[in-house]
Amino acid sequence: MDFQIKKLILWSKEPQFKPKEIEFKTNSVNIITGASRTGKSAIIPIIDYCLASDSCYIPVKTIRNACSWFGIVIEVNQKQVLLARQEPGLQKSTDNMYIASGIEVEIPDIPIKNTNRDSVKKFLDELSSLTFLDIDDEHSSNYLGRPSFRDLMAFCFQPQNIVANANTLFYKADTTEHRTKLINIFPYILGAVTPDILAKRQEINNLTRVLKRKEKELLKLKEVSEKWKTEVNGWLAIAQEFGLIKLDALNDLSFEEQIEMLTLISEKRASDSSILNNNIEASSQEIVALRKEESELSLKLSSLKNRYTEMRQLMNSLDGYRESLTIQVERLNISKWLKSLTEDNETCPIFGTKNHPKEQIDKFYTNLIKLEDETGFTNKIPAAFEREFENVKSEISILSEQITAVQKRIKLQSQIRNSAEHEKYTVENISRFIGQVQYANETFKSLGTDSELIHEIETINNTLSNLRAQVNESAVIQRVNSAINKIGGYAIRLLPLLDSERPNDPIRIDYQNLTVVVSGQDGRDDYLWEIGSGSNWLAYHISVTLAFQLFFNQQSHSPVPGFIVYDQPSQVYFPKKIAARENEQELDPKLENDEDRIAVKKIFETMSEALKISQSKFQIIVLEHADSSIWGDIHNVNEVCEWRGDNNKLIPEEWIK
Amino acid sequence: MSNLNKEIQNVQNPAFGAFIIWSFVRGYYSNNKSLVPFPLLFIVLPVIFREDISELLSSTNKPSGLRTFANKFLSTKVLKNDLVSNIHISASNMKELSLRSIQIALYSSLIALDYEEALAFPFTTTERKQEPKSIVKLGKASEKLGFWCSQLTLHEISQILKVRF
Repeated sequence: MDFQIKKLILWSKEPQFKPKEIEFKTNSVNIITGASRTGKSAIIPIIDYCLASDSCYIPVKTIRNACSWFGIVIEVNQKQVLLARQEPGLQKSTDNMYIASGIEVEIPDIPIKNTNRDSVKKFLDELSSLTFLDIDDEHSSNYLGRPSFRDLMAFCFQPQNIVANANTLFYKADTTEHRTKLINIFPYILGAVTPDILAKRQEINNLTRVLKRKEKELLKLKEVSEKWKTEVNGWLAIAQEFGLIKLDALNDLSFEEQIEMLTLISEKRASDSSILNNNIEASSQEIVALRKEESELSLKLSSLKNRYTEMRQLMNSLDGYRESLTIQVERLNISKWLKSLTEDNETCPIFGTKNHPKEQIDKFYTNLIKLEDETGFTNKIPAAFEREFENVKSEISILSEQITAVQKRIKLQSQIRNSAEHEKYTVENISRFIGQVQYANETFKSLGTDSELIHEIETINNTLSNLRAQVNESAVIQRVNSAINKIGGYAIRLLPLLDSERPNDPIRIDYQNLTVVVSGQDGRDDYLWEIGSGSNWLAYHISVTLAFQLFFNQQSHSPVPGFIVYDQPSQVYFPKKIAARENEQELDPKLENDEDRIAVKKIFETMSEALKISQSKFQIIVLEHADSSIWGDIHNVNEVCEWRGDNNKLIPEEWIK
Repeated sequence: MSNLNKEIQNVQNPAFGAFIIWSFVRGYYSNNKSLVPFPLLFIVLPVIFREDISELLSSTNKPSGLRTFANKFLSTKVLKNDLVSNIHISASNMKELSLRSIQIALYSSLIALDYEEALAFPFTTTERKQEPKSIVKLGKASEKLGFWCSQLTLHEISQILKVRF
């Protein structure tokens, strides 16, 4: 995305000072060079903070004490946007932000809060036209939420601790939270998963839910229709009695056929009826048969009920008996022990002959043996008994269901009959019956027949398979792979320009681990953290991050901002003076030997080359010790400012009280 | 002997009583190896053989002591003060049972008596844990009671449990 940084602005706490502006050039390499402790490293946190970061990582003391607001001007699609955020003071961060946009924004003397962090985040999300659909909508976890602008910052910053880090390739990818989220949204960032696919994924989820519900409904409907069948049978029997239809086998009809039959009846007129002798006979026979069936069933049921009650009682008393036996056995158990203790003792004269302890112990011991036999016996009963008990229980439930079905039918038939006993078989009564059938028919129809539902389920299934084919997860994987190969290709192009030990070994980006795998000539894959030397790490970091930018640039529409900030990429080449005294410590180290100078120069040349490949479509900002003697003659490199000498720092001295 | 009588005898049998008394003596002995005054043995079974008292006994912590335990009967949650007053009566009712239990305990060398001072002490202090859970629980309760009594004089005990020796 065409999203570059135009200016960095600081507002002093003292209103008499004008805001300090640092201007950057778009589509080129911008270098801020300077000595140590001049505020170079504060640039990344300031930009990050103004782009609505969670908390404020801007260094405390000098910078935070002197400034009241921090701001950046970004250039997006030929428009400028000023984003400023208040210094948090004693808090971790503040949500007070200021936003202004236009062809050319005006820098206010002091910003006044006109928005907050959340709306800025939304603004940025919208700006980069990120999807509002979650990556995985089934599991509502933070890790699988929608990609946000903040997640893209991983590709825009390479602070000091990351730029030559063997374990971490991206900014903030050293915490689990960011890391997991970044891995999850990677296919989206690479353009392998489009918002369209996300939307379809969501639709699949929704449809699957609907499908499940419909299938459940179908099952329920089937159960219900079984119940209704008996009732409809009653209606049909009367219709037959009235001679409205002729049927041989009532019971073999399916529910749908029954409904059809009902519709047929409701369309008839009373005059259509032809009361036949044998029809009436048949129907009265049916009633008699039903009654007989009912009484048989009820007889069976009541006998079962008696049996059930008795069994229940027996179970209960058995339980109680068993319990009392256990208590007795437990209590008597001691006598067994005591008997074993006293086995060798002779009868002692002291205790006399009556109630001698030994006798007593023996007495209770025999009691114990007796009881133990009994408990063993009671334990055997239940196993067989309980099975029988269960049988009776299930039989009762089957019978009671049968009996309700029969009763319902009897009730229905006799109800219709009794309602107009005296005018049975009159034309009027038959018309009334037809009216009732009409009404009942409506009700049954409104219940819905299963065929409708089956049809609906089929439609959903079709849509689902259609959608699944469109989403095609394996194609997504393929697209991810091709994107990664492309990025790898760019990186391999840049790598030989840098100072690394294996410039010609092909590299692969392992996005599941957020790292780089270098395949060596001996056929072994080496992960970044298995490779030694800071200069190698640096080379891989720079080539890969630039390759990512090149890839995003080449995409027709990528949400990732088109700028990248490196903080001290040359740090691995600067000599470290461990034993230096405090006053002798060099604030502005110099590169001492020529090899190092060449290596550092290579870094800048690579950046310039990357810009050339992209035809100057993105922006690189470098914060560096190395001065213009190293990068002065490289194409497309622009010095923003040099912070050396008196009062030449990020924060002017007069701002500090 | 009727069946019910037999059951009661089985449940509150003197062999089991011997076990309870031995547990009591062990508990008493565990505090500074002190010996149990003989009369005290007669309050053990009335307490342990009452289900509600022994339940409360099990639910009281060992460091609380006999007074806290006795006060629990006064608390509104339990409110069974008459139980404590009953101990004396049931002690005299269970005299026979207690005596037989002590006999068995002596006979089976669980406890021994110092005949001159009428003090009882345990022969063995090894806990018996292989009995069923409910038995072990009652044994523990009895041990706890013994431990509490060892911290008090006979006179104090008689005041707290409202018994006369």
